[in-house]
Amino acid sequence: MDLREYKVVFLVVTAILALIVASPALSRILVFPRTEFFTEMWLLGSNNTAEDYPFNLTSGQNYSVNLGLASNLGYTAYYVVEVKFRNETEPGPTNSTASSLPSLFNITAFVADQGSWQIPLTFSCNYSYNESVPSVSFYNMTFNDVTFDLTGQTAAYDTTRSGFFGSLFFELWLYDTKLNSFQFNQRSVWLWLNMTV
Amino acid sequence: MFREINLEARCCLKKLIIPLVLFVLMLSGLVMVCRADSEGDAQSAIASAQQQVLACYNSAADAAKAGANVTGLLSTLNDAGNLLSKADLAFENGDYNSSKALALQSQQELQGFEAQAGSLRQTAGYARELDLLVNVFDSSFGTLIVVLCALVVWFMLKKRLRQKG
Repeated sequence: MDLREYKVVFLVVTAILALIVASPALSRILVFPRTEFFTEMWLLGSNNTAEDYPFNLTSGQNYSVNLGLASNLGYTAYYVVEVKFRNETEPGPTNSTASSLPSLFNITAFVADQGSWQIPLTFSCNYSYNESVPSVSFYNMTFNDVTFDLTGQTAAYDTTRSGFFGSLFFELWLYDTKLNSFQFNQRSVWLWLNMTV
Repeated sequence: MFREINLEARCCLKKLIIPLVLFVLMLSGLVMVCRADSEGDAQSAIASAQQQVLACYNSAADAAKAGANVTGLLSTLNDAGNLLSKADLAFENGDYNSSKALALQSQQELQGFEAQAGSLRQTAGYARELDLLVNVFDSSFGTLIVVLCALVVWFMLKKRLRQKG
C-alpha cells in the first residue's frame, strides 16, 4: 500500500476537521451583512388575532385592539405612533405620505433591534346623531386613559355603505439621528368604524 | 334730604369706580401673567424632558450596540415616553399644571438612567471582548491540535508501512 495515494484524502479530512473545530470563532469573525432593514406594524383584535376588529360602534362603549411594532433596523429604534381620526372626506395617509390631519395623541415606543413591542388599546367614542342633516357629530374620544376633543368633527351618511363612518388610524414615525427629527416611516394601520345610531 | 343722600352716594361711587377699575385691571393682568408663567414653565419642562428622553435613548442605543441586554432600559424609556406624551396632550388642552407635573414625572423616571446604560455598555463591551478572545483562542488551539494529531498519525502510518517493507 502506497501512503502517497491517500495524501489528498488525508489532507481533506484534516482540513474539514480543522474547520469544524474553528467554526465557533469563524462564525464570529465572518458575519454576513444584513441587507434588509424594515419595521413591521400591526393592529390586532381584542383576542390578539387578526379577527374580531371593532366595526359597529355605540356611543360611549369601550372597544379593544392591540397595536404592535417589530424593529429590524439593525439598531434600537425610537418610534412615535400618531393617533388620528378622520371621516370619509378628510385625507388619510398614502404609501409615502402621512395624513395632513393633526395628531390627537402620540404613542412613544422604543424597540430593540429584532425586538417587538405591543400595547392593548381601549377606546370609546362619544357622538350624537343629528336627524335633520343626517349626520353624526363627535364630541370626544377616550383612548386608554386619555381623552381628546373631537368637537366640530362630523360624519355624513354614506349611502353606498349605509352608515356613518369614521376612521381611527395610526401613523408610524421614526426618529432619525442624522436629521435630529422624526420622519414618516411609510407605515400606517387603520380601522373603519361605523357609528351606529 | 333724599336728594342730598343721593348726591353723596353718587360722589362716593364716582370716587370708588376708578380704584375698582384699576383693581380689576391689575387682577386680570396678574391672572394673565400667572397663566403665561405656568404655560412657560410647562413648555420648558416638556422641552427639558424631551431632551432627557433623547439623551437616554442615545445611551440605551449605544449600550445595545455594545451587546448589552437593554430590555429593562427600554421599558423605563417607554414609561417616560408615555408620560411625556400625556404632558404634551395636557399642554395642548391648556392644562399647564398637569402638563408640567407629567413632564417632571417623566424626568424623574429617567433619573440615573444614563449611568445605568453606561455601566451596562461597559460590562457588555468587556464581556464581548473576553468572549471573542476565548472563542478565538479555543478555536485556534483546537485547530492546532487537529493539525498536530493529523501529522502524528501521518508519520506513524508512514513509519509503520516503511517497517512492513
